[in-house]
Amino acid sequence: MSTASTVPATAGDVKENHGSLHIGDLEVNFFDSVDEHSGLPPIVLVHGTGGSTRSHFGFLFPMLAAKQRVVAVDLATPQGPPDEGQIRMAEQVQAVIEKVLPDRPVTLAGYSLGAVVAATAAGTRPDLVGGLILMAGWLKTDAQQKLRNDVWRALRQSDVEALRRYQAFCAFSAPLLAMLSDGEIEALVSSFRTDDVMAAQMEINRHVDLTDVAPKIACPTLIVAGTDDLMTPFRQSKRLFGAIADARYTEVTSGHAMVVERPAELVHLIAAFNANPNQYPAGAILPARRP
Amino acid sequence: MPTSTPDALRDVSVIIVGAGFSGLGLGIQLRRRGETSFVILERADDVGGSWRDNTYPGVACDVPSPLYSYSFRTNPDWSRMFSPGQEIWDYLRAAAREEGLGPHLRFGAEMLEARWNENDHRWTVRTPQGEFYGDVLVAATGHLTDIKLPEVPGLETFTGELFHSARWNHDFPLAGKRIGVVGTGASAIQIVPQLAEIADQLVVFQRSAPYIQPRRDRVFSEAEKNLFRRDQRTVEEMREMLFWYNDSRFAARRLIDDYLAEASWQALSHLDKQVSDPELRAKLTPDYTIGCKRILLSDDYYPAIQRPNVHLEAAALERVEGSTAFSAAGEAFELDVLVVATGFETYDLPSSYRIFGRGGNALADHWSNGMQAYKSIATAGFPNLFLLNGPGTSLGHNSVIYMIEAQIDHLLAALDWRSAHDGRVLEVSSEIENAFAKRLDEGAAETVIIRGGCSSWYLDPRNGRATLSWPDFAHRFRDECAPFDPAAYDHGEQSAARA
Repeated sequence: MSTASTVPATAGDVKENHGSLHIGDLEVNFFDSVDEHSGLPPIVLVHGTGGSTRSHFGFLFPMLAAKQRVVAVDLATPQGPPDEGQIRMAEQVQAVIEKVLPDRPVTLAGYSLGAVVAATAAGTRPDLVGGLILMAGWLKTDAQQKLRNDVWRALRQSDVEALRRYQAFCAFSAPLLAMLSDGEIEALVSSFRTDDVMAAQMEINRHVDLTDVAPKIACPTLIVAGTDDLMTPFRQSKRLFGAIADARYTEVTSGHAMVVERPAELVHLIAAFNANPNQYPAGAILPARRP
Repeated sequence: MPTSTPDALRDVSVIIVGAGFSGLGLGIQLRRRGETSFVILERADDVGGSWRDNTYPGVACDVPSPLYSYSFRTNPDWSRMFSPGQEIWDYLRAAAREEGLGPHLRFGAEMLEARWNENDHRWTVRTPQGEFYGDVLVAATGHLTDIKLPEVPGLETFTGELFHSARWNHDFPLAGKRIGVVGTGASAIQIVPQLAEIADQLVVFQRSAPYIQPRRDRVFSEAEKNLFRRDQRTVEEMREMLFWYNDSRFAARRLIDDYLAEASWQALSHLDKQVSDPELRAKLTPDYTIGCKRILLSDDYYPAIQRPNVHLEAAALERVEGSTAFSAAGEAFELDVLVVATGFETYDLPSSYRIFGRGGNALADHWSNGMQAYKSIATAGFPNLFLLNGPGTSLGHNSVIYMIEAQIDHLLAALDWRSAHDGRVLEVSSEIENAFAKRLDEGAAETVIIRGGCSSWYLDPRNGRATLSWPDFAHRFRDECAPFDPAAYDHGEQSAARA
């Protein structure tokens, strides 16, 4: 979870193309695995706060790209009022879809802030999105989240080292952190960023509100919540489940960092939904997975 | 042909061959559904499969115990994360007993021949206990069961004691002996630390150095076990965590750089930490990409190799003369005992020479270009035959019990379908089987099994196909292969009514 660099997201056998486009003075980078493999809809991935395609989707991008085309957007952080952040970022996603995958249904999958952006993109341009996956998203920033945001902001002013520790504490589930050695904890702590881009995205997080846009989402939607998520508690995902008409809901046993804690389970959920979005009807809570 | 003694299960709906994890798992599910018309034929005198046969010192599984067990029968009593083989065997015996499989088991009932009868559309299985007749035949015969000896000139003339790791001779005293161990696979690296303690001299013949990662084993405390008993969800949560973590390791098998580098680092830093002598370290450094052969887990193998009474011979055993074992490097070793830890028949299964389908064709002939099956379970020309833990089910990164359970679900749905459709015969076409096999071949071509620069037991040396291997996430096997789709099967004939 370190950098927002535009190093290619993958290696192995995925031959992704890197491209970019401009919206105003923002440069938006994206990656495209190109190879269709099958008749499945392409998947468009949108990363979360402080992340990038590489840092959040180093696993999901290449592993999903083994079976279907994957495009991932590296969000550019807009200047301007933070309450317009979600829509400015959604425009970037819409522009990438129109450029790279015009005139075909895509499955749009967002994680954390990326879920907010994806939901906004799907609600404002329903014609672009055939299926929507919201991982660790939220409907409207609530008092618990604002309190955490306050602490984040205060620590950034007073003690950046403490801020990194606080981020690790908040991002990962208690059971995962409990298993790590001291060295592994320190490696995790040092990977967190505290720069101005991160701070700007935290301001956007304070102002998220999908209340109006959620009812406009028309496509089949899968909501994925982390049982142990402190940053976007699962109850927030349940609010999305209530607000989006054609939604189904499932939980993974994870903290907010589900892309790190349960990446294979996310591949399963995303791939299965992409192959058959209506395997479970609107309103369904997916049956528990008991491997 | 032996005469058949009276047996209420002589003529049944389902004949299961083999009482290991697969056969017992299916039997348990049939019992739980109230089925009674099935028999489990077992060639040995007890259940347990590999865990009955492998009794060598140090035997354990390299999949964590909470995961290496049935999801429908979790066990709060495992002594450790990687429990000893005896505990796994005990677990299976208790499962068979407590789930009421006793009346369904026939021991000493080796499948000598299984034949599809074109007239009544049923299977006949000949055993030393007489013939058994069934609508459906399930080959739960496994693929790590029939031992494989190396083709070493003079091996049969060895004047000392010689046995395979899975046929351990516990009557022979090994203390103070000069012992050779042939092989450095999963069995050998568990055996070597044990023998190093008691041998006078121990020579390990290594053809190819394995990757070894830290085992991270630990004892489950009484308090933990008590919690597991009081709250079954805690066992399941640990199992789920282990399953999904293991499944994420497939990214390295699919050669995704970051994950491949991480897996290599885990192994090679372990080697660096445990072995300081650069010359020995070089001998112990593998020459292929990690994951091409099974990745081994051990904390005591490298220390054992460095004991003064242990010699690592980084060359294959080439020939044996009397009591002398010669390595391919030309070294000679005087030995009292040779332990052959060279694994099992995998790609050309002995059981496939005993199963005859339509037109009297042997399964081995059908598989002369490599074994394959639609969804790893059904094969053309062999109606109502289902394979468990057969082609395309081996994993290098997760638990095979999960694979077996997915297959059992497919099979149970197939049996339900037959019940609802007048017992019609289920058979896949060659086209469907070949299309599935082609997809597996294409998948394997993207993985380290094919591209890792080694020859492993996952490969069929006759054609280079990775016929043993499931080249994907384990969860993908359940997603693809657990569902039963009657449209994939032809189903014209009906099994005749039972006698």
